[in-house]
Amino acid sequence: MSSRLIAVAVSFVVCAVALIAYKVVVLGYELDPKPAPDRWSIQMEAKLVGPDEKSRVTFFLPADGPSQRIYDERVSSEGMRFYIRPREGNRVAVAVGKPDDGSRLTYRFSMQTLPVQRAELPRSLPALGNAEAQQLAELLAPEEAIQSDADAIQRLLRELEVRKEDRAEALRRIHAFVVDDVETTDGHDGAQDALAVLERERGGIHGKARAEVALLRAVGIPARVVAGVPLAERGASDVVHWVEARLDGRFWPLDPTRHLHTPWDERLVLHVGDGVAIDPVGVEKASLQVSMLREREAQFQIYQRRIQNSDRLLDKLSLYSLPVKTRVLYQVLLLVPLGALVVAVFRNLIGVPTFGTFMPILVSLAFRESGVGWGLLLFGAVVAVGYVGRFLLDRAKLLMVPRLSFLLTLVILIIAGMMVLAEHLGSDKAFSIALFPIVIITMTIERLSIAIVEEGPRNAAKLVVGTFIVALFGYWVIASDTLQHFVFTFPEVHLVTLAVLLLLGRYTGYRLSEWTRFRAFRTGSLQP
Amino acid sequence: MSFGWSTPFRSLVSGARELLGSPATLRARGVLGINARNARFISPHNPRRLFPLVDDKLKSKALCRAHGIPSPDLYGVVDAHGDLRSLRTILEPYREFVIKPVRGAMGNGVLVVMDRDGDSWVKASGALVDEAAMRHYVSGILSGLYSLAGNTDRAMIEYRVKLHPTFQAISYGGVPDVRVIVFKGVPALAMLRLPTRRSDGRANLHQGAIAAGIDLATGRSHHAVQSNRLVEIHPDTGNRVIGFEVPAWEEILRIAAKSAEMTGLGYLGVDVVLDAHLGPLLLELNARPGLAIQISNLQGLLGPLEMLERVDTSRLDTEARIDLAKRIAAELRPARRPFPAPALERAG
Repeated sequence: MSSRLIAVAVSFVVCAVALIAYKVVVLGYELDPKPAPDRWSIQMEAKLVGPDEKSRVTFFLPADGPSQRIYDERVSSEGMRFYIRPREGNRVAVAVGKPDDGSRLTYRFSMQTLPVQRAELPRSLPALGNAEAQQLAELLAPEEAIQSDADAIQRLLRELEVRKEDRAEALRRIHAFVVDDVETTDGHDGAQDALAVLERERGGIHGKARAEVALLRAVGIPARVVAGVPLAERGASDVVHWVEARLDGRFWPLDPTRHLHTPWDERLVLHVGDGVAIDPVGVEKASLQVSMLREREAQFQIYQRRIQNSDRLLDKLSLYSLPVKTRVLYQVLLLVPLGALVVAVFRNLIGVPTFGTFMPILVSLAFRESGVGWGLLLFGAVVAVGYVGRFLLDRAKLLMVPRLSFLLTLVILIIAGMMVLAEHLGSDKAFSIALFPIVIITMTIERLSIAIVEEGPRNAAKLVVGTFIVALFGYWVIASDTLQHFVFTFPEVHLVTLAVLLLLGRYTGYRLSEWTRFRAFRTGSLQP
Repeated sequence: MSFGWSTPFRSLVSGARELLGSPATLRARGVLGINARNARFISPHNPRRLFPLVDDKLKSKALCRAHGIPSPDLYGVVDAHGDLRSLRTILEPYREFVIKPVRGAMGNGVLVVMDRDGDSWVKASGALVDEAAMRHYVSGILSGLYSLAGNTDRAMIEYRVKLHPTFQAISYGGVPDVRVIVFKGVPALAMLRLPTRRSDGRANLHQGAIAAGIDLATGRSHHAVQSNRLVEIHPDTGNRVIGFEVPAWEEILRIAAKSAEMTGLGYLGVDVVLDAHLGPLLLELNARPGLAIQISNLQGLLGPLEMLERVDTSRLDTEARIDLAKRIAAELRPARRPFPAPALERAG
């Protein structure tokens, strides 16, 4: 290889490293930004089954509170009238109208969790003074499902030897009793009011929360039920309930399934006070699902704000100065060269055969849109149709273009069938196949049927497997958030890509596959 | 060793080698890999603009006529679907012929007609083809079913090569052919492809034809392979395929050497068939010939190619080039080492 080529490659790498180093050291860019810890994208979705002519669905929406701030709210109500009303310190969403069967009310928002000081429970606290009790009367009074005035409750308290004189000690005993002695169920074991749960000594998390609140109120500790969702990195979750007890001028969260010393996890508070999360009137069944995602985007926004306000040349030249829509496109586009690099490595160093040169990247891009699972399923279906079509259509002796069109039609019908099936199976992950993967699929089926004819079914199968392997690795590169952010922040890293491609382009050594292909030369002879 | 890659890759690949076993065995035995073939031999020696000369069989045929190289007679060409109506008129004068795509590869889409039976034709397999089926077949060729990139194609009809009697003992169904790799006008390696029952009478190695390495100097087969396994006798005829002497070997080498000259391609695969009456005929040319020929000879291509790289062959005439090819082959034969120099110095 010419030394000039190596010099060019090396200078590319040096340039890239220098630029990146400058950006990091002088401009203070981050190589791998941690996701902002306190931002979340959350979606609440109510699915309505069997609605009437006039339906009215009410559900609680989270509100700003001491531990959370809600912003960027968006609603899609599928034609129902949707409004938000305050109710007893909470917010409720009311949707009125005539929805279709299975339609969804979606409420999306972003949330910032605010730091809350957690302290140890005081060792002991005297009984509540009269003035304070007056003030917090609402948190002490019995409710329909929280029968704190029932005789059974008083009897139980005597059994447990809970004394009203020391509130801290009383709280510890009550909580320990609810956690240890009331069995936790899925909430379908009968009535879930406080009394019923305490009588059975088992109940769902909501029932247990009500029971604990009833016990607390009975000993004169103001308490309430709180509904919310534990926050996770990503995923969906059901609404859970817990207890807030007011001691010493502030609220203490108590999870009726966990001991006091268990560290408190971050939770989204949906509403305080006892109530059902969703109240569908005129709807057969309504279910509420909350899904969330920790926001990486927030970090982009921080960058963007800083860079937009900067006067420095490199900041002005950065891709962050593009409008948001274009930015989203370039974030993906800038990863394509890395995909091409993967293809080059697989073909020229390893010797994996593929359909066409860049077909694998297109397939990985399609995977990125549809998800790997669906993508593999789809392409598997395409390959199956390709093979079956070959053997069936060979007999029909169709011409090339009508034959391909026939196969394409079959594939589209199969995709439509899969979508319907996914809908009926109630797949929560929306099976959304955009136009782009369909284009790739049509290209695959064309390549595949030509390969089956030209190179025989066995070689075509090798091509299919090779294409899939390379596409999966390509997907691994293209779908990586970290890489996406890195390349977008430091596009000069592609100078390294270019350098590697230059060197790869002049690689004249053997491919890994040739190691086995020419094994006769290694062993000295062939096997008969 | 001059590998032609840079240090990071050398360390990467040497790492891979340590993982896989004894280092550099392939290289020491002179095996040519695909990367090296493309970068060192095809890309510098085969200008892209010359590729149509070999990819388009009609162009190759015209070249052959102009340069006096024998090739099967062209009976007719079907250019478009409109010409299908006159298919019968084109085929009328001939009892036997071959129909193939003008831009096909690896013997795909070739239909061999052995005889006529009333209004129908008899295929090599004995099956009958009526006119409608024939039209459909040709139409498949025209719509690009067998062409290199799936583009529309043309169909050509030509003379059917008759099996040479010497080959009867070691071939099944079809006609064997000789593949010669020619570098800078000098034959470098050759193999004989023998059809078998498994390859369905076709001389296609992927489908199970036998590949026998031919000693360029003597025209005698010295090693044979079927689907990457060593063979000594033809599985269908039971005759030995090793030690077989190819008839008209000199003439075959001459056709190979002259083809390189007429196309201007420095690295070329030449396929020659032997006709019972007409002798050697040039069948097909390939600007990206495959590497399996090395396995059938159990000899790497790098040996002869690297020797030839250092020789100026442009002023040598055909006979001198053939002579050089034989001397190199003889030089490399006994020791099977890639780098003996004497033949080179004698040539230079």
